[in-house]
Amino acid sequence: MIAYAIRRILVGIVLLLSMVLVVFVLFFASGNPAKSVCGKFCTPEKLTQVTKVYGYDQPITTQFGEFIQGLAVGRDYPVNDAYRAALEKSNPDLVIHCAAPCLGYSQHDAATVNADIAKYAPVTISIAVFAFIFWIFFGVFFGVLAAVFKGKWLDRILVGVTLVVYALPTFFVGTFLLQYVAIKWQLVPYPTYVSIADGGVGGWLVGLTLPALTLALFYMAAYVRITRAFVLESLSEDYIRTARAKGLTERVVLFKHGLRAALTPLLSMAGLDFAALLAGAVITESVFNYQGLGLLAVIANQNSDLPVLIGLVIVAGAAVIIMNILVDILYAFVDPRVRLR
Amino acid sequence: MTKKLLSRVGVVAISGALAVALAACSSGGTSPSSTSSGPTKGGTITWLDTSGQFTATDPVGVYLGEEIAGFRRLVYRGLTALPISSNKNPKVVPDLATDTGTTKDGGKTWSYTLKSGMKWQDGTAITCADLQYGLSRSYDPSLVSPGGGVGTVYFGSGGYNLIDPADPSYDLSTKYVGPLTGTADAQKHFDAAASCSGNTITYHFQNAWPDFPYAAAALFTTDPYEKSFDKGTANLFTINSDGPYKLQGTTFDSQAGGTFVRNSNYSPSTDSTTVRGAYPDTVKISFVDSAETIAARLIANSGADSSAFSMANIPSDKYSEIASSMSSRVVTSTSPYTRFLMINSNTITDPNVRNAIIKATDQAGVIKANGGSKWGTPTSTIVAGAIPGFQPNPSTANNNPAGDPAAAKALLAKTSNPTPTIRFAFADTSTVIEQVAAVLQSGWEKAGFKVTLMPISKDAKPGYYAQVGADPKPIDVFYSGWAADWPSLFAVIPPILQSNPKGATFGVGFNYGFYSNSKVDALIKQATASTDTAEQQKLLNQADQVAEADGAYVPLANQSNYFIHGSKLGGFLPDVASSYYPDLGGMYVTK
Amino acid sequence: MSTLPPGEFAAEVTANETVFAPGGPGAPRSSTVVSRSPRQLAWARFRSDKKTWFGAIVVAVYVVLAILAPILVAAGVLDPYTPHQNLIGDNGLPAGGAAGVSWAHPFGVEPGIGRDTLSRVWFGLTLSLLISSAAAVFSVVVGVVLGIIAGMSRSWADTLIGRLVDLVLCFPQTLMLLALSGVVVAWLTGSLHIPKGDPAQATYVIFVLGIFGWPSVTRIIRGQVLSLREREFIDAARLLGAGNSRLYFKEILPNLWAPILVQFTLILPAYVSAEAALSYLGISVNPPTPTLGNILKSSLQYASADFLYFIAPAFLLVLIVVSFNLLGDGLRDALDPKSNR
Repeated sequence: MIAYAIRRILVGIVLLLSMVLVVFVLFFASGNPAKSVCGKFCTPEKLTQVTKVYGYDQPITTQFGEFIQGLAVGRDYPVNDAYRAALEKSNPDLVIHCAAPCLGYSQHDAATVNADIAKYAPVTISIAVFAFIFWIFFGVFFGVLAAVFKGKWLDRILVGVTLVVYALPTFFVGTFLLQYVAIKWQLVPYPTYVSIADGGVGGWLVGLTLPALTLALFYMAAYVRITRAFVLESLSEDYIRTARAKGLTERVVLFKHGLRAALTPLLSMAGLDFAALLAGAVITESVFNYQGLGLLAVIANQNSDLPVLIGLVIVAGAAVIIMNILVDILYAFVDPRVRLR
Repeated sequence: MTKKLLSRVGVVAISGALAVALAACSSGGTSPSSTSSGPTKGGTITWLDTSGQFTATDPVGVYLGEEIAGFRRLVYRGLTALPISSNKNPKVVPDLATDTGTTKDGGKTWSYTLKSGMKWQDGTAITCADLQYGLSRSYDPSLVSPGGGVGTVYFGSGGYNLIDPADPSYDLSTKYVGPLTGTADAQKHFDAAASCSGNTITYHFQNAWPDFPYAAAALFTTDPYEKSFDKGTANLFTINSDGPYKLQGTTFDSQAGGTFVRNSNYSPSTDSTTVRGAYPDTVKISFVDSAETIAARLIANSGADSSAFSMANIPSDKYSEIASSMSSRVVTSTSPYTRFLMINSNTITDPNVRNAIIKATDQAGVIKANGGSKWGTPTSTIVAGAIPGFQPNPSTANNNPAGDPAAAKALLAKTSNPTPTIRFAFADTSTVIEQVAAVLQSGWEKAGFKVTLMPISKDAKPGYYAQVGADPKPIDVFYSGWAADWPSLFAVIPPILQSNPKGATFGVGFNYGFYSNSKVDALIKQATASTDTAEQQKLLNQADQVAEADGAYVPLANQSNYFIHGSKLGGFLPDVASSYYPDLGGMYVTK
Repeated sequence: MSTLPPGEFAAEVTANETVFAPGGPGAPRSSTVVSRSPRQLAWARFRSDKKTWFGAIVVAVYVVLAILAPILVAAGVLDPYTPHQNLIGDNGLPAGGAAGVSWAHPFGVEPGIGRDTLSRVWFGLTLSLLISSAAAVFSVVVGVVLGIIAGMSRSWADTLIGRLVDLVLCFPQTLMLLALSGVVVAWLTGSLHIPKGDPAQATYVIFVLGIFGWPSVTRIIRGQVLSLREREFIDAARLLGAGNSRLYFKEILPNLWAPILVQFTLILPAYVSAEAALSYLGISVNPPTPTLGNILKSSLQYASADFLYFIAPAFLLVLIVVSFNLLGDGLRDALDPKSNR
């Protein structure tokens, strides 16, 4: 068990490093990133200076090595040693220390990428958690309902509605909720993010309702379909037939035997979907202008803010990898059929 | 976003000193919202804007017109200021300084003495050294980036050229890089160029700058900056206030906004209510996703939004939702912006082809796609109607606004290729701009042109202006706009029409079309040498006429403003001081 | 694989808002067993399923319409480009209300500029289907080739492909689609000399959707191949001296047509949605060239001003996605490999 976990973690680290490498190569392939840092009125002299100050004149292998080193032990900015030494003398406040795991420094935001991500993460996590609870609860509930009433009108309606909801683009749903439900009909207050510290749990929940709903609807539709399929599949397994033959009531068969087998794979899926959401709900956050990681990515992309984009990809990848490992280990506890080797 | 792409500085202050005769404003006059009672103190005003608009709040990094307009009233005081006024030619008044400046040599040196009793938000007194320090920061390329660097355009050797009088040949704009990284020698020269003596600062210029007091009011470049507050680039989104409000918290959030509360160290007795009424207790800048959402919220006018306003115009797709019952909340005014197309003179070298493009362009269609007369009116020049010395360009004034394909065809028939291709580039930021491109394409095709549209997306690398400003480029015509950096023809004609230096790979000023004509250059030179305002204007207008007869650019529209605000907001007035954005200085919450 | 790989499910529901929304597993699986040939069985199941028929008919109509559109545009019957600004009123909306519906413009005209809505939607449909089919073909081809190789090889190739799948699935997809657009489009136009503008944007969309879409196909194909490779006819072919390439593509591939067809039909609607989402983020084909996505995007601005114009493109998009999903689900049920034995 522990050996398995260690092996998975090692593989995870290798995966993460390969990811960093791929991202690095992809993003730096386009040429000198200093150009985007340099701004609109960039002169050749300024470009040379910026290239040097940010270390973009170094070979990409050196830059990658230093980046990895920064991840492990932290880094100081600006990265050019001579420039930093001069600055340390003239204006030590301007030398920025970025503690491990240092994801980089964004000239555009005048902040370390870590600080940027820390600032935007609460919104994303809030939306993700709220949406997750919403979609798991209703998704599984309606999914089981549809499976139990398979072929009946309730099942047909649920399947039909989920098909349509599933096909609706997120930005369409979001725009509709914002323009009609919030602004035109005034059914809910205009959605703005309020942290728990500012507005208490109540204010926080109210602020999250529309974006979380926008996001949850799509997943809910997917989970109704998946839950329904899993439950139906598990109900056709041999051991269910055995249970029924033993004379157990339909309710016991369903809840004790059927659901357990069906919901275990759902658990791992949900874990991964949740992890993927931690990268930020790009579209939902754009529609509602919620300052989450997805919006940060959109903004960073518009500003050609490469350090932030790289940092976000790494954080998102790490979330997926870690969740993968967790889910696999958790799986062994929940499903007795699975033995980890 | 469009505003940012339009111009480098959205600043137009209509200079009283320069104003000779203002052309009649083309569309809807300014109408302050009427309220029976006078301004009252208290309450919260919400300033709605689209997120990501503000690229900096550090005074030397700010270049967006609406930001300059708002922050001037909230947090950043200048040496001088323009008052809140519906007057089209307001007179500049002293702000931090005791007077609007004194000069003994027709504008080559300017002196200002600070009032006493003024403090930063931390309680420290504002000194002459702060004024010096503030100006010196605008020489640091790392602080003004990205998008800034405006001040040095005028203070540099290409402009009025701030110099050390003891060593006039020392070029500060290339040798001095600001207080943080500049050499001691360069710093010495700078300190002599903007010299302090007690509470009096004196600026020394090589070229006379007669309307410098208006520059000091319009730009943040000469504003003071507290040295102990300076953390370099890390200060991009910080605000150290000397105005009636201060930012709550340490940094301004460029995506969410910020809350401004009263600054206890601000002394109203050193200020005037004609500049800063400072009526509300709180001003909240709140960013949302789009101009549509802003307009929708202001139309809905519910809760806190009833005391909200926006600097953004109502987008045309919301016009139909402006009901007549909202007429007391809707305000129209003139705008400092002109829109035009630049022609790449290096790829379209034949003046006949360039003129054919101008003749074939469907100006009226472009305006209709943008929202019609509420958005703008056809124009014949790059000069906004509100600029002193404005006159219609005789070369294009008689063109048909709907385009004249027959005349264009006739011109093309004189050339070797009667069906040339136009590669048209535009910053692809909205549906409207895409529709504008389609209208232009359709008009040109009627005249026989082949058209290739080149939308440049928001996240394109390099970005729009980097692509259209470069030379050579695979672009023939591109969408553009301009709001004068300075309320004078000098801030319009030379930057756009003066030849670029030989071998330039990127347009200097705003001559991204790489237009080059020795006659135009000569006229501009003559105007610079002249000391008579009327003659300067005559020469510059002549330069515009000569260039346009040669097909330098395609004039499109003189823009208008169309605003809506909440029902509980009083004192809503787009004025000259705020570049025809609503002036925050006079706004208040009605009881 | 000792544990149930959670990624396999994640791959089906691919998590990241709606940019990726492949048809999840869902519809029930029929378990009737009658003694008929597998093909007869499949046909019978297919024929008796009304939902599938509905999907198939709508899809067929769409495909015919999509093929007709370019012909009609060339013939001048459809005109998606010419502005009719004389039909636009002073408030920017079509004059005379009702979205400007007339005999000349049966679906009305576009606000602001007055282009014919029917022509735009119809021609946009063609381009959307073209882009999504190309991306689906890309995903499926890469996925099948790698899936066969992974399934047949009993050595490092399987491990390598497995790790590659893991790596690709770690990347936050929406984020990558967004972040890569600048770099990849520059590469496409610069190195591959694809013309700037629409061709480059379309190629980018096809390319990235394809790149991030193949792993799910690979996993499913690999699973199928694992069971196929133990069958007698493979041993027979091997004994007869068939080389690897013959074995893979002459013996194995023909036996995979059912899962390939199902995967294709399920991926395609996901890509239609994805194209729309990318349009929303501004990284797909740009107007004036219409696609369902960019028409939908521009209609969002009129959400409250022109409700008809707001919902019409969304309705079409939902219809096409639902139909393809119904068809795909039906095909899968009909061709369920379980009953192919």
